[in-house]
Amino acid sequence: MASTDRSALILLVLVAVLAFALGIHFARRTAPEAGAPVEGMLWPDPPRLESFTLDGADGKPLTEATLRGKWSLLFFGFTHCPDVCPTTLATLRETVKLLEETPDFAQQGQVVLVSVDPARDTPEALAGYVGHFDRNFLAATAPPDRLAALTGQLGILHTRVPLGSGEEYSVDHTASILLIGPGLERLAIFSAPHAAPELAAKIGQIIQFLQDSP
Amino acid sequence: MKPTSLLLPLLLACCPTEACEGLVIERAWIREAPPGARVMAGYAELRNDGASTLVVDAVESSGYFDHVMIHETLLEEGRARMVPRDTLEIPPGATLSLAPGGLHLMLMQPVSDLALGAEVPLTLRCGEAVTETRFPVSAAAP
Repeated sequence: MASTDRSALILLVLVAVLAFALGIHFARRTAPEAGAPVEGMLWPDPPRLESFTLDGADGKPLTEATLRGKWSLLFFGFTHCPDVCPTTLATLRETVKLLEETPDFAQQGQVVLVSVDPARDTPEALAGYVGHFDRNFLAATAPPDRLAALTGQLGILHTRVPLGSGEEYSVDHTASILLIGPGLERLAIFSAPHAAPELAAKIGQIIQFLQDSP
Repeated sequence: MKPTSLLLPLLLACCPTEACEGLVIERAWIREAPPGARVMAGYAELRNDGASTLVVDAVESSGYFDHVMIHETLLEEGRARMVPRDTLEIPPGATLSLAPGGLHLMLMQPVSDLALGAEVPLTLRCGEAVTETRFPVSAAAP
């Protein structure tokens, strides 16, 4: 009965091939659309910012109360930073302009530069610096202990690095932009490098999503 | 005194210096900075049209900045790190990009505030050869 065995084997192979092809077919139909990678996650119940007190560029304290009721974009930098900081502040200026179409941000949005170089950045120096990019930008800094009360809870790292042999130094620092919600929710962290159109689109989506969800 | 020991200073004093061979500098600019800024950044595209690798080993500015350094911003796990570079090497036919968030000229201690549109001459040195270019102060890349 060799020929019967052979037919059975061919049938078995055919069934296997068909099953494999069907499997691929259905897998393709049910798989998520290609080209839509996960870029980030919104936590259902995001952690809240705890209290901190910085010295604002306007001469007043800048605290968590300054952020309450606003959509705040926080960036940590310093004025002796020639590349990343001015580039990011220029990007933030453009982002804010693009977000004019997101009414809630246009009315309640703000940008805050926090200097991680309090030894060189006085509040007065910061006022001139951020004002150059946008006169509505806020800025603040504080001595290391009070600064740490904010950077510590946000995971912002900063380290002094000497430049050459003199007294000059740079500060390596986290170059992320953070989005804080009106209830002080730590909503999102955007990693560098930053591009205004992408940043504005994501922030707009997040604000829209939070307003649409109950 | 040996005659050769006199030769080098004489050569340097008498003759115009040569340009960095094959170096073409395009899209040069300095990012405008707020008044009182102590550091600025210069960017450009450096192309090597020559037949051998170009090594830029110093950048100089007379009258505009105290000194100039070559730096690279490195992003690692969201953290920006500044790393000094001794030289810029450009293989024949290649273009090296000095751009925001990467390689840049670190322009230390401007002698005075530089207004938008000001043109700052910078000298790139390749060994004994030098190439000078004007870097306009601008809000964004040209």
